[in-house]
Amino acid sequence: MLKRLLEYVGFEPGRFQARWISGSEGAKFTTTIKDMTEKIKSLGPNKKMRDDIL
Amino acid sequence: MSIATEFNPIIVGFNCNWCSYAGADLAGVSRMKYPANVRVIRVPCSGRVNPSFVLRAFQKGADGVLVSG
Amino acid sequence: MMDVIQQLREQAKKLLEEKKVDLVIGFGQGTELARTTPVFIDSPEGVSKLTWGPFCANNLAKYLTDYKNAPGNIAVVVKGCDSRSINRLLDDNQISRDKVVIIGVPCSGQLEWQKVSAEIKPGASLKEVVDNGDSVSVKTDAGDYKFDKKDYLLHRCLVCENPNPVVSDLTIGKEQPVKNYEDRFAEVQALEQMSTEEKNAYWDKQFSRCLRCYACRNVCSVCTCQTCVFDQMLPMWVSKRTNLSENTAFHLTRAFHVAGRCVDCGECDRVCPMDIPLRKLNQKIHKDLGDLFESPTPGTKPGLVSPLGEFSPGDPEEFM
Repeated sequence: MLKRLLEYVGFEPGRFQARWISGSEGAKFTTTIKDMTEKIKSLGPNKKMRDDIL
Repeated sequence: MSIATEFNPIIVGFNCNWCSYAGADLAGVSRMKYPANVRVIRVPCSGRVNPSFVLRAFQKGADGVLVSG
Repeated sequence: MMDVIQQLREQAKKLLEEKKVDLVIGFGQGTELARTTPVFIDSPEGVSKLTWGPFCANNLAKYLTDYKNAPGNIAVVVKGCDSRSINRLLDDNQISRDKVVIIGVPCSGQLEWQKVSAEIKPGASLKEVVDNGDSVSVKTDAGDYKFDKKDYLLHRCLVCENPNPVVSDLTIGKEQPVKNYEDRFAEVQALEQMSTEEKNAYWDKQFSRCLRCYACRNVCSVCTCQTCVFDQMLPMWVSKRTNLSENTAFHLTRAFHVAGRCVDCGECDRVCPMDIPLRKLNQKIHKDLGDLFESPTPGTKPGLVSPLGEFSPGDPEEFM
């Protein structure tokens, strides 16, 4: 639901992901992180909602 | 002098203590390699993750957010 | 319309005289014909303040939460959309059913004053507004007007689901047919079709206008937290600064906080002084809830459980 709302207000799909990884799935964890890093590298830095005053 | 650096995204990972945090630990003890872009935040349960955590992560400069449980 | 007002006053008077209720919350005449204001009547003599017409947009169910702990019973005047709030408040245990007398008034749509005033001569004051069903006749001191009602309704009334109250103890006036002037989610679909950049530009433009006046929160009938997270100082969960980033966070948090409970009364959208289309956020959630969980609009039936509040094995799993 949140994912859909974020995409609705202009976040690129893929910036926010939810995954179900159990305690015995170390390999799934690594592949998830790998895939996501690749995905976000291709999307570039997030500009939406950045609080640049800090 | 400019240094050409590759874009290194920051991914905030909200990991459930009992599921994916253990999964990440298993990945660690099994010496599996994964990108160091993820900043793991251990939460007692992925139900602890409030939507505003996600928004706050994006506000504070995260390039991606992963909620896993 | 006159006999609705007449009956409304009679019924309110009866309720107050028979001591069935101690307070009647209804619509009263404001400073001019197009402005109505909530009135709180505690004596039978006061019922002449009650009114009804095509400018009664407020959702009076909100005020019930103010009297949550007050002794005595309360009668409240509701339209169809407001009655969904009542169901929702009952389900949230915010009000108890035996302490509330619900006076339902079927409604054929509320006019948007801005649209009407754009049509009549500037400075002219309204004398009379007559609802003829599909058209409206407006008498002003600078001439009479007649126009197609459809073009002057609040947007939420164009896609109204419940013109007749879904819960009421007494109903005043005759039932109104459901007229869906346009597709309920047409605007949301149009936005969904946009590219990421276009959506970004659209919402940045909207959210950057926000003044953080919190009118949308204050008017919301399902915003019933005693201390709102946006007011809380210790701990200060959310920043109080007004900038695009914080405004976006505020609006998304607000929309998501009422997800599954929002009854789509459209009040947030109406009261926004900056005309931010807040209802498009809420409607997006309604649409997704409908698509993913086939759930109806909250409040349309008593005892509806929000799909976000319970788990069922058939729930879609997009995160596997």
